[in-house]
Amino acid sequence: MILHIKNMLSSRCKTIVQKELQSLGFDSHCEELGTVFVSNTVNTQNWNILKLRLGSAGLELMDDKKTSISNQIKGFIKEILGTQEDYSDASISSNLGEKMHMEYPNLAKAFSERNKQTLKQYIITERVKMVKEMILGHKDNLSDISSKLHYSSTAHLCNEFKRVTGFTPKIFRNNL
Amino acid sequence: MKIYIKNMVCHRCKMTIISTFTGINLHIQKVLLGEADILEELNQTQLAELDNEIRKSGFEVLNNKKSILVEKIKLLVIQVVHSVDEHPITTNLSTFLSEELQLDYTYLATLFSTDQGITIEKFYLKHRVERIKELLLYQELNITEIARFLHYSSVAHLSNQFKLYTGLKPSQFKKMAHPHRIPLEDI
Repeated sequence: MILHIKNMLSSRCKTIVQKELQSLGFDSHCEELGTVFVSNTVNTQNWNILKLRLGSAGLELMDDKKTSISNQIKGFIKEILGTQEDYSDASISSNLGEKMHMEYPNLAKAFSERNKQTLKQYIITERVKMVKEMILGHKDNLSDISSKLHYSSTAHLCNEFKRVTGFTPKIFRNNL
Repeated sequence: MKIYIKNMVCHRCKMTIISTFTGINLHIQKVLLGEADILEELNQTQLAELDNEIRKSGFEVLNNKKSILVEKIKLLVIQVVHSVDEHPITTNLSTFLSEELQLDYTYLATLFSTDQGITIEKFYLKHRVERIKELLLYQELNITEIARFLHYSSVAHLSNQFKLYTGLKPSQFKKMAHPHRIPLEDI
């Protein structure tokens, strides 16, 4: 695992970083200023301890930009799908781009580098999950669901649903 | 007693000095970049022992006036280039140095070049390039922002200077698998 550390200026910084890692029980190797190779993965608890200790020495353990982007994306998608307002005019991707202040292609690239799925696949699975829940809730009919979850039409919803689950929404509902 | 130390460039160097000094039972009153104030008075042999001890971490005890002054110039340059905030000086470097040290710039420049084999101006540029490298690798600012932050007149000026010292364009450097940064004390 590679750690990125800000404000490393001299070879003493390397020594101090390696000492801190050693005291937490990690073997580390630091060739260039700013990057440290650690033999094992650092879990969240150790990460926070390390961040605090390095902070007191004026160094900053940098969060991986792509991981934090993909976590943010996941949060926003849940938020967008969860609010269930009538957004039928705007697609999820353009909504996401606006909220993150980044272009969608850049977001998608960062997302698939840190996850096993692409962003599109992730959106589809999350969305179909929501469709299932809403069908089970028996409150909305399909056209309401499709507009609340940013589908362009009911046909779009049915197609996507069938592709992911193998059933049409109607069969899914009747087989409950 | 004040002890002048070579090669201290950052806060971590201060920490290393403090722990080394405490390790050999010296009591530090105050430590700044380049100097440490201790309670004890040391004679020549003790100073030599101290020198040996701190050389393990790459420091040296300085004892002649000229090298102390050269070290001060270096530290001022480092302070200017590597400050976390925006570029702190409004005048040019030469005026800044001679005002800070209360000495004529011509004298400082000659002293520095004869001692180091490199002019103050070139030393300053090398540090600037190193700072650019650092900022590039953080990926927080793009090249235009870096140029503005470091008070370059244009991106072209920055790229040219970068290429002159590293042989690479900033974008090429950013894409390298193992980009090399030089520790500040080795510049």
